[in-house]
Amino acid sequence: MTTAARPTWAPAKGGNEQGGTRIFGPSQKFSSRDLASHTALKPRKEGQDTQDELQKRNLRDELEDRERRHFSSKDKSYIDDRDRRRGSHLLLEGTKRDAEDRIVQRNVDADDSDVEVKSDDESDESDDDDEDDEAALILELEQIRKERAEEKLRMERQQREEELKVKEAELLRGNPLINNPTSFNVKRRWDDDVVFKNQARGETKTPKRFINDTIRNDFHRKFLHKYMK
Amino acid sequence: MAAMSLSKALPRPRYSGEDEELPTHTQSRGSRVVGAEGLDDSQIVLKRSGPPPYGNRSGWRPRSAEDFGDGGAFPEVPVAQYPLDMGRKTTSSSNALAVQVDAEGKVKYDAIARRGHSDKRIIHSEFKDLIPLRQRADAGDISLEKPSEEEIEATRQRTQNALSTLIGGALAAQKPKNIKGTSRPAPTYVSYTPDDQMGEKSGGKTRIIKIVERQQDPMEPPKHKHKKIPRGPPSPPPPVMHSPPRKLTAEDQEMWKIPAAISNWKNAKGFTIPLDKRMASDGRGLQDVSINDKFAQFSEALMSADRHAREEVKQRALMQQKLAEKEKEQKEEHLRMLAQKAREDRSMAAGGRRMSSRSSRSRSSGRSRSRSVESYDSRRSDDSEQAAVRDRARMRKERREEHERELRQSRMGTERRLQQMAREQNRDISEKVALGVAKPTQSAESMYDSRLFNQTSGFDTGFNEDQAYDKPLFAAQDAINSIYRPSMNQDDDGEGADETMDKIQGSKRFDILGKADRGFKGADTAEARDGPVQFEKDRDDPFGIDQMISDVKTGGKRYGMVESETRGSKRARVDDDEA
Amino acid sequence: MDQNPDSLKEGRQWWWYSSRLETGGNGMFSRKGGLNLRFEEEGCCFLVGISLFQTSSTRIDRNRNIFSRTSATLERIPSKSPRPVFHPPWKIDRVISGHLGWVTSIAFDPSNAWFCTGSADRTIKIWDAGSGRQKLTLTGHLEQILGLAVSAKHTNMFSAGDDKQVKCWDLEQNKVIRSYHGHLSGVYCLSLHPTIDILMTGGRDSVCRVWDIRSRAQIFALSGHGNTVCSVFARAMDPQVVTGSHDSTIKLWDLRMGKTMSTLTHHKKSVRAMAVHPREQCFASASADNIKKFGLPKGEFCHNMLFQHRTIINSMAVNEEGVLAAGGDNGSLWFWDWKSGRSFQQAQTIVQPGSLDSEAGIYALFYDQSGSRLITCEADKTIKMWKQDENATPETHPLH
Repeated sequence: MTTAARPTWAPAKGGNEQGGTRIFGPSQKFSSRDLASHTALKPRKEGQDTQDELQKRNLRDELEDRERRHFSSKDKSYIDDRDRRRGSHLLLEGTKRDAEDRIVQRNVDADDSDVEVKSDDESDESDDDDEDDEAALILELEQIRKERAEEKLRMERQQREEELKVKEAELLRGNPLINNPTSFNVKRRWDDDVVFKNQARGETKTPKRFINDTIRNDFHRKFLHKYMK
Repeated sequence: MAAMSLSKALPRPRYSGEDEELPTHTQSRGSRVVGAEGLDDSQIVLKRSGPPPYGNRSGWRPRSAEDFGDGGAFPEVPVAQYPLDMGRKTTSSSNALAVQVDAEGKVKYDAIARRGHSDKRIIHSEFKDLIPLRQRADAGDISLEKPSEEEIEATRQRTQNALSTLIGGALAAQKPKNIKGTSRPAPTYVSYTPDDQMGEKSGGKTRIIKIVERQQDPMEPPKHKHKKIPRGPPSPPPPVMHSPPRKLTAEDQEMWKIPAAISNWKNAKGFTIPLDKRMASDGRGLQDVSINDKFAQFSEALMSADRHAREEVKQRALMQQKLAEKEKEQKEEHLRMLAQKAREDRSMAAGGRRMSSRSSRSRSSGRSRSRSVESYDSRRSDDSEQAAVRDRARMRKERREEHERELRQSRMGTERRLQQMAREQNRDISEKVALGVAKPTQSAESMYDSRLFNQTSGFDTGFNEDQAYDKPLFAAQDAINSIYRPSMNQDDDGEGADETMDKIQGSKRFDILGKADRGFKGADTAEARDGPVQFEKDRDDPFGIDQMISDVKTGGKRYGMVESETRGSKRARVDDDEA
Repeated sequence: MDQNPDSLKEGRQWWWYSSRLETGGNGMFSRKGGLNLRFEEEGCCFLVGISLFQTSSTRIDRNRNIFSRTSATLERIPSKSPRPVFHPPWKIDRVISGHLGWVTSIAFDPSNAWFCTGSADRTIKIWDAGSGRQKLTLTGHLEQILGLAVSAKHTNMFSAGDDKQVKCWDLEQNKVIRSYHGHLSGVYCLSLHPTIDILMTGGRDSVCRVWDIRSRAQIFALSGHGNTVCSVFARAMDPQVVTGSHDSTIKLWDLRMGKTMSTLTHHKKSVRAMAVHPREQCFASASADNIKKFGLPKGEFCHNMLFQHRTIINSMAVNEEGVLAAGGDNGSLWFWDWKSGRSFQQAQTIVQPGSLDSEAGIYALFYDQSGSRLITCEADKTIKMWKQDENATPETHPLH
């Protein structure tokens, strides 16, 4: 174990002398990287955006033109779509709550209409039977209530029976080991989201055969084909 | 002052008197006659200034600065001279800078900052350099326009020239022209005609001189050692144009406190650090471990799915049972129908007891002897029908009982089943044989006698402080003891030589090795056998009944009421205290 | 207030110190000629300064008398700083992601067709400016690439990295043709001279090296800084090289001699970014305490920016319309009006989804050649293009 592994607290300072070794005289040794190479600078030629050319052009308009062309083109790669969506997402930072804030139209449900209808009925009845006997009214109300309760009970019973039947049917069929012989194979391979797959799988390999003739074996024939076509 | 104000107060004179001529009688003509009082100011005094001319300085000493004139010291005057005060040895040699004043008379306070730099160098050292440019008094017109093209081009040219010389130098340095030792210039020949020397007339002999460069050794190490010179002093630091950093408050210091790093892996100086400090740097205190709710939901879902599946399985099993029962009933029905048919057939074929008995026997599964006995009896009875009916009823009953027993057993549930199993297991083997449920062991491996495993040895038997070992140290202690050691004492003389000899010969030293100290239990009482298997005569009393009888007869145990004489010695079981 | 008309003509004025203003910045005490003056500079209000110039004794005397008489009541003088100009606010136009590490440097092609970015994943990627599609990836550096420049006169691109390498790429062949050897440690900044074919690089070895592009020779090693040189730019006129360093000084260099012309010590923290105005003769320098503007060629202090950004500023850029953009290490991007020093927008970059919030940081900024788009290179490995909001008018975004 060593404690000598430390970061560089004070990096070396460069300079013309660079640590005390000034060039006192020419040396006879030189590096191969100091050999002359690429000794000509390539200037920009006429079609390569020299400074004179650029001064005549309006770069801003060209940029906007290119952007417009790109955004309006039909060939939109998914990158641009993503950028657009993300871009708009970022522009208007509060629009994430669009879906929730949207006013959902209440559809006029049957419930509402029932409520209204019932209220109407009751109001009618009350209007009609104002002069009649209260007891008869009460009796009628109770009868109606009883009928409704019975109906409800019946409905519930029916529902329960149906449910039981459904359950039983499910039960009978429900044993996966017996009834639905689903294969327990995996639906998705473990290497599905891998970047590189075996790309040479479908290709057929030529069987290696040995032909005992130096001028008529596979290697020789391929060689000649390649170089002497 | 008063005169000035007076002259200001009065109006300007009309007549200044510039071009007025003095009257003749006031003009002085002729020789100048000076009175006694005017002698001093008009007397011309010949004042000597500066040193005496060269040659007349023999006794003269320069004493003041004017005596030097505009020159320096005089070498012929043998006195230490300090013209302009130069050359005096200053007692305090300090590198303090003298206060300098610039052309307008202002003190140059930034002389220290400018020390070492040229005068043209831009150094911001004044307070006004901190003031924004627009608010400065001497800023003048601030023009921030681009310089003209010509200026740019001129600068470029100048810089390019300067740099190209440098680049050329750098490139040339990379490619050394004269590499030592490779090329020697060809020798030069000089023809020399000496001049006439000292009047010699025999001159003029031309000589040819060959000048050769000395051969240099190309592999020679350099002749001079290049010493590394330490870096010179840096240029004086520029004045700082901002306020010093603010003092650190205690709060700030607390906020930026970095605790010491305690590594989990390295400990260079070998410090002993308490455990809580070792774990502190992990950041354990900063995490709050929050368990996801979905774990609980998952387990609940699993439990409910489990319950659901169990119910389904139960119901399915119930349904299957019902189906099975239905099938059984159907089968029974079928059988009953067959039986009916058979009965009808039998009744039709009147004499056929055998057939009935056969059928009855066939009907009975033949399990118990009693049944067969009864069927045998029923065969003997006269009333075949009744017997048959009784038979059938019995059989039905038995079958029902068996069914019920089976049902009960199957419906029992685990506890009763456990009890049953316990009962079955605790049954003696003879009972099992009697019932007919005895099963031989079917384990493939050999059965070990448990007595083999529980022998008292090893640490299972507990510790004994006095005796920590289970075996003696030397197994062959007896053998060792019987090594003959003649001792020095006279005890041996008591014994005769023969006895000693017998003793030695008799003691079998090595017999003890390999022999157990205990033999098998019961092996010593056994008789030697003759032949591989020794048979025993079987006596007729397997249960020991004869012995029992003899016991009773002789009264080995107390049976029944037997008064014994020795009862009186027994004390009553009453405590004296209670009495 | 006594103003001598003569003194005005000569360009000298006495100003009186106003009542104490809000503190926010430095405080300085100075004694000059027996007068106690307290000068405080703050961030929100305009500055009032004092200059004392002794011209002749009489005036001083008179001054002194006058001061002593009216020191209690001092008037405030309006500042001469210009009125802020309206600039429409900037918003993100596009986000380009493709790098696998922090994007640390950027340079634009002079024709505005493409730009290249260097990143901590050791690659240089070339992107099309109009569509934002990636055109090319160049590898060759061993560590992150901290400086990039595209030559306007030659078909060359220059890159400098943390691995001490400075490379010259040929854009016609897409490969490295020259390497400049000599730096002792990582190279942090790179700049091309506008008129001469030389290259300036500054790095952790506290020198700025001047290279001849063609022969790869090192012309100068401009030493004098005490710490890493983290920003450099080159100009056509003197001082031709200006460097900013981690020792909080800015040095103006004379390129012909290879010596410092002047040292500006106005900053308290390291000067990580500098931006030179394309037309005016002044530049701005940014450090963690504030952003200051200096004039050239003498390096005189112009003014501070009026707000304090209070973060490490990694990069700055200014366009022709006078919008200065300063990108901070915490992801904040402030836009300033160049002339007045007022910040008209303080934006914060949003990290791309999947990144941590602490990965917000701007490492490099550049305007395109037209000055209409700002490209920022960020720590969440994306490149964001910012555009000015077209619909903003002085009414919708009033200057407050």
